[in-house]
This record gives sequence, C-alpha cells and structure tokens, in this order.
Amino acid sequence: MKPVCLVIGAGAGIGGTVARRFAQEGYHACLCRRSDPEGLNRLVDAIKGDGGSATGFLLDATAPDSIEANVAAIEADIGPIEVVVYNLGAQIGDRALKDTSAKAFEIGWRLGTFGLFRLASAVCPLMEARGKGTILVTSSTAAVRGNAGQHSHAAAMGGRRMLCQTLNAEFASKGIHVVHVVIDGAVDAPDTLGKMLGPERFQQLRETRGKQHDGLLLPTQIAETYLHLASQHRSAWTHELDLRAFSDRAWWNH
Amino acid sequence: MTQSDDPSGQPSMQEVALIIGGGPGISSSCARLFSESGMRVAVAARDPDKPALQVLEKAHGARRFACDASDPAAVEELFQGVVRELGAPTLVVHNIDGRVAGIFRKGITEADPGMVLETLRNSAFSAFLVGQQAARLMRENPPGANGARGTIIFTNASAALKGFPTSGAFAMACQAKSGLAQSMARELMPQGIHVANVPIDAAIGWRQEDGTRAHRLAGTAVDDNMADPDRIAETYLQLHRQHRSTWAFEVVLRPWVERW
Repeated sequence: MKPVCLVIGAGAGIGGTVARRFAQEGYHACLCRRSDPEGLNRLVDAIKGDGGSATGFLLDATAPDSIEANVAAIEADIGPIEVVVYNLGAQIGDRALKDTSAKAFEIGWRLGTFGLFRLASAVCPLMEARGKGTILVTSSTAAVRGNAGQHSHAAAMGGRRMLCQTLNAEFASKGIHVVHVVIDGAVDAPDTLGKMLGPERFQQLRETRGKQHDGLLLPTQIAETYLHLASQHRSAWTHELDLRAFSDRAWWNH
Repeated sequence: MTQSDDPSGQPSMQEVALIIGGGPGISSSCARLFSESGMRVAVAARDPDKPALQVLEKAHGARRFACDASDPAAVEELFQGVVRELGAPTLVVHNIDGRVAGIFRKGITEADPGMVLETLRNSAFSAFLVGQQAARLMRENPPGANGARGTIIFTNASAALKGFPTSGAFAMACQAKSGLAQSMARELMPQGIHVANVPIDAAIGWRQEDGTRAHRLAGTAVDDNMADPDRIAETYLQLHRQHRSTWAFEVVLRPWVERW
C-alpha cells in the first residue's frame, strides 16, 4: 500500500504540480478541488500517464464535514496519509474596508484558517498514532504583511501562520512536521493568477516576467522544495520558509 | 553542473565550493556532501591543521587553506588562492561562530569591550569580507543550470532571532550577520546570486568517534534532539540547487523536539 499525499486545493498550479511530483516519488496522490471536474481529471490522468497513482475528489472545504469525511475515506480505502498539502488560497483582490463585506471576510477566514484547523484536527491524531507525518501549508505575503486592500486575506493568512506555529508547538515532538511556506510573489499558475487576471493579462505577464525571465515562481520548482521539506530529517527541520523569484522584491522591502 | 573557468585555460566541469570556518561540525558535513555530489571543495580555517580538516583532505580530497577571515587582505588572498588552485567557486558557505573563549555567559556589566569587538570582527565583519569577495567573483560566473551564478550561505544561530541574556556580543554579531545577508540578498539576487541566511536554532550534535552524536556542553544527542550537521548539509545543498524562479532566503533549522 502506497503512502498518500493529500492535496487540498489542486489546480493546475502549485497543488496539481506538487501532487504530480510526490506521485513520481511513489506516493498515491489524492487531489481535491472545489470545481472543474474536467480539470481535475486532466491532472489525475497526467499523473497516471507518468506511471503514478492518483485519485481526484471534488471537495468544498467550507462545507461541514467535507474535509473530515474525505480524510476518513482516504484512510479507509486508499492508504495512510503521510503528507498533507493545504493549498487553498483566499485572495479576493484588493478591496477597501467599505467594499469588504462581512461575508467576504468570513469566507477568507474559512478558507485561510478554519479549513486548516479542520484538516489538522482530522489528520493529526492519525499521524500522531503512526509517529510521523508532514503538513505543508502554502501561504502568502499576506501572512507576514498587511498590504492595502488585503483586510480579509491578510487576517486569514496571518491566522494561518499562527495556527502552523501552534500546531508545531503541540505536534512536532510527536513526529509531525508542519511547515508554513510563504509564496512571496506571483506564481505561473493558470487556475489562480490566470483566472484573476484573465487570459490576456496573464499571457502578457508571462511574456514580460515569466518564461525565460524566471520572474514568476514556477510550480515545478516549488514542488522540488516541497519534496525536500517532506524529506528533511527530524534532527534538522524547517518550520517557516519564504520562496520568491530571484528578481522580485521581498515582502520586507515593499 | 556549472562550468567554472580554470585560470590554466582548462575549463573544468566540476563546481567549486568554498567553506570558511572549518571544524568537525557543519563544515565537515558540508565538505563531505559537496564532495560526494561531485564538487571540488576548499575549506578555510585559522588553523587548517585541525584533525577534522586533515581527515577531510585524506578521505574526501578537500583542499585546506589557512585564513583569518576577519582580515581583509587574508580573505582576498584566500579567494585568489582558491580560484588559482581549484577554480571560481559557485558555492560559498560562511560558517564562523566568532565568539572568543572569554565572552561566553558574560553579563552586560562584565563583558570585556575588547572581546566584544573581537567577536564582532570574527563573525559579522568576516561575513562581510567573505560576502564581498564571493560577490565580486560570482558576478563573473556564467549562469548554471538553475539560472544562478552562485550561492552564498551564511550559517547563523538562534541569537539571530532573539537576544538571550548574558550573550550580548553574540546577539549583536548574529543580528548584524542577518542584516548583512538580507541586504546582500536584495542587492545580489536580481543579479543571479542566491544569498541565504540559515539560523540553526539548536545545539548541533556531531558524530563522535564512538558513533554517538554529541555537543561539547549539551552532552550526547538522544533521539535526534540535537541538529545533525549531516542533515543540515543536505538543506544547504538543496538551497544551492534551487531554481532562480523559486529561491528561499531565510531557512531556520531545528530538531523536531526543540522548543521555539
């Protein structure tokens, strides 16, 4: 039975690419996303095309019992979850306070913080019983810096970072490695940045900053670092990490 | 693998790594791993005849260089020597703690100003000298497979993250090193040089002759409760190999059971 790498938030960017990379290393990849079953099938088929194994799930992480039932089903039917990648974004673009509705703020918190809490509540007892596990949490600049217009996103991501710290404080010594990864820049990801910008502006950004310029974070390269983090020996773990393109400004210089 | 220019005109396909501050811990682990990964390795220390460094030379072909890294002329000479004998480095690790023996556990009212200054010179000032020489050389390197011209890694400590009591000199030294690394990263990363600051937030237990791992003051490692320098070296190598689209700057490493 293969160990499972469970990815919550598996689009064609970081999530799907990380799932594929872990599948190449012998994990059974479980890919979860809210919508677009065709896109999900394409990712699953690509992994199977590599000779890997994968299962796709449509999952609404804000719905009651969705994450919990998903974890229970995977453990019962597929295998032990050794690596979890919590990769849900909560970016809604820049909005002034008066334009940020209570609902938008609450959804940000549900995706940014509460979903991770629910996921951890479901997987930590399993990982603790086995004495090992890795929880990789994709996060963003907003986790360390409250930029203008980011009320919902920054509060959600700041909460996500603190939750990672408290999880480590309780579970690191039980063998569970929790890593908060700040993706400090634009990612070459069609399902997130691509949808936010629209196809034309996204392509323009790729031409001017991506491609041979390497100024957009590449999901394939992020996946290499995720794989390294999951393979770190327990005597020398990283708990917080920033990743950005060589040519980009760091969050502390904005 | 990056191609480095050999002054003899013979292009070498082997990368060159230079580790400054050599002893039995992180530097030895790095030298072994880098050498096993196909690099030519130079290790510099004030006393290059330390037994640990002789072992590196015999077992792993590491070249030993004598250097007082707090002396500008000596650091310049070191880099010239490494370029002459091995080639231009694409990976430079500054691995100097810098504390002088008499400064440990000295309260602020009793710390000797001369020793404080010496600690700063050994640590932060030498980091500047090493970073300066490395940057001057690396700017001229061709980009490697990962798009980088080179990697500069600063080993740092918990004191880079928080000031501990009776450790003022070391707190100053480590935080200065962090500031330097941050500033260098902002300046050099867009030029293709990857700069990383790696605070090791723990005691480091290195392999003893009897096979156990131990730290001089903290005792013997039990159940991986001390950082293993062989594992630290693995993360250094991974940093060096990161693609330029996706670079980490600050990486804190600690054992799983460490409180932080």
